[in-house]
Amino acid sequence: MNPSRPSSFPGLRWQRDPLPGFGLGLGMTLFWLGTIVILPMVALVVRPWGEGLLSGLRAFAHAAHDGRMLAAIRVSFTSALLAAVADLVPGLLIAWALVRSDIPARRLIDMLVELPFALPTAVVGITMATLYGPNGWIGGPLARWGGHVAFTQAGIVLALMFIGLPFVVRTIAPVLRHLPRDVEEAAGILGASRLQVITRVILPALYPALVTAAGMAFARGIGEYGSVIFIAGNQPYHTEIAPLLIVIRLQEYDTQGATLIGFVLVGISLLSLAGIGLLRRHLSYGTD
Amino acid sequence: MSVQLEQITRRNPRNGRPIVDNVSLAVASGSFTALVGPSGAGKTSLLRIIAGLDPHQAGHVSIDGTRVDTLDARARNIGFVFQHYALFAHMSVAANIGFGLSVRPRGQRPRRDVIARRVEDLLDLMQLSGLGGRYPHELSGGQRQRVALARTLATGPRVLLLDEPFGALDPLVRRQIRGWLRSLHERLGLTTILVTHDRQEAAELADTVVLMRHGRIVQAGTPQALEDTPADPFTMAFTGDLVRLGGRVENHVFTPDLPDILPVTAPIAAGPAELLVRPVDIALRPGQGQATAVLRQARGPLGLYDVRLGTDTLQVETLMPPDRPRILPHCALDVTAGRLARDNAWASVETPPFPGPPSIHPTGERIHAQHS
Repeated sequence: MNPSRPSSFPGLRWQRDPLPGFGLGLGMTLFWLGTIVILPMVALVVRPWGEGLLSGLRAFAHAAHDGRMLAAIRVSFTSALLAAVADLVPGLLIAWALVRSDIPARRLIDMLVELPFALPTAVVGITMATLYGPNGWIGGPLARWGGHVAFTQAGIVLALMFIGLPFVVRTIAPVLRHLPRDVEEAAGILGASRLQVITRVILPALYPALVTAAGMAFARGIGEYGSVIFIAGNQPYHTEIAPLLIVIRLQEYDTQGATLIGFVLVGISLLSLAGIGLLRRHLSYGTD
Repeated sequence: MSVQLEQITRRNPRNGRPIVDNVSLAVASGSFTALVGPSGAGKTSLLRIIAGLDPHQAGHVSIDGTRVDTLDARARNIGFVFQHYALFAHMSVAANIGFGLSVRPRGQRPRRDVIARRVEDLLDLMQLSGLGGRYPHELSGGQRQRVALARTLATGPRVLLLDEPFGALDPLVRRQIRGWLRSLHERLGLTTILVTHDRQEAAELADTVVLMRHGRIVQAGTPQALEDTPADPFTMAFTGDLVRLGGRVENHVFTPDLPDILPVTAPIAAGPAELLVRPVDIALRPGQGQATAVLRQARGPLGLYDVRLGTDTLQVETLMPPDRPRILPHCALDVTAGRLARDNAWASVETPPFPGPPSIHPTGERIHAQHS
């Protein structure tokens, strides 16, 4: 029996939590969740029907045929997905270098990894547009070879990669650091080559972290606005991203249209995150 | 396969201090050798040097007479079982065991069904039948260690190195796996080297016990040899329970500081000294002193007594008198079976001629210490 607290419910025993303030903590969590997350979401879901059910349905039907909006959403999701997946390669390499090797200026690099968090995203966008523009340091020579980055979807992907990279490095590095060494040694002593140790032992142990990292970079990429609009060119149907279209709609006083885009974005994002969560659960079987 | 170590030295890469210091050891083919010693003695380092996991700065490692110093760990065909199992968490038990075979170069790799059959055989051998589809986190500690052993044996190594393989297991499981490991060693004709800090484990399993301290070998021999003729007080302390009695030597007679312990003669110069004796070797002599012995627990013919000597209490396990009294008043302790130590040197002790009733010393024979 637990004598620490007389129960007011016969048959129920209270287990004292070692952390104090359970009630306060729960209250604050629910308040935060309610005001910051759920309330705006409800507003977003309710808004298209604000002017009556019929008007809402008409707006949806209209949106289903709105080529510009569909194109913007497509551009946003494909760019974010491409950037998230492409980030995994440099992210893994940087994490590896930071954790496993003794490269000079390791601490400096470690610090610089977080720079995209600290920079105003507009600065990133303008810098990239200048660098990759037709007369930029990188864009100029690239244009001579027929490559165009600025004002194409490649530019959007590049900007999103820059923004998403810290998520990947910071997610993978701790997992890599805590990977037990004896497992690698065991694989080596059993006859595995260095490449086999990496592909069959280390990478599978990193899969859940890689999925999480890509998921975070992806989620960030969908919402990213500031850095993209400077390098994207913002050509409707081609390089216009959904967040920008929301702003444009708002400037046209088309609140219903803007919330509709937001609604679709949130819906697809939630589905994607759920899918990523499922994949991670499947991949991390046995490792945690 | 025999393993020879010649003057192996490994230094700490950070401060240059030797971790393994000029160690030479010959391990005969088919033998079971235990490396024992306190933590930090260099046991695990020595094992890792043999396996090729750690480099050494001086000396040679030979397996079957061939030097393997420059050979990669993966080319030495040695089995190594890690303390914390080191299983591949994302692979099933069967995939773990088959790993060593499945990473072989294409030409030497057995067919898939051959690997599967070998895995089944090993699962049977390890008494793990039917667990091939499970994952390591679903197994108990003892099962995981057996999977690690099966994985090691799958590639057919002739030398098996075990780094404190039972350290994380509970005592009952430990005892089971121990006996079973010994029979496996004999059945497969392996040459096994085991690192442990458990002297009992070493004594039960090994033909040869190698006692290490500060990166050096203190003494190597059969468990019996280490018990009968310990090289120094450290060896004696490490190989069994010990009672240390301080005292002084005057005129070649050692008088303990505690009362009611019979003095013994000792051929060493006057001065302070310490008497080391196993609790089992202490004899109770009723009627020769003022100590009271109280029976705590009886185990067959042996009794565990609490003996009160002045303000101290000493625990002694000894043969009980036939009537098994609960309290023995007016006792003295006979420590003739002990060894006298001063610094790191030994001296044998003897009973001065003493009149008195017959002793109830458990064996009646005295073990004479030898100078190391």
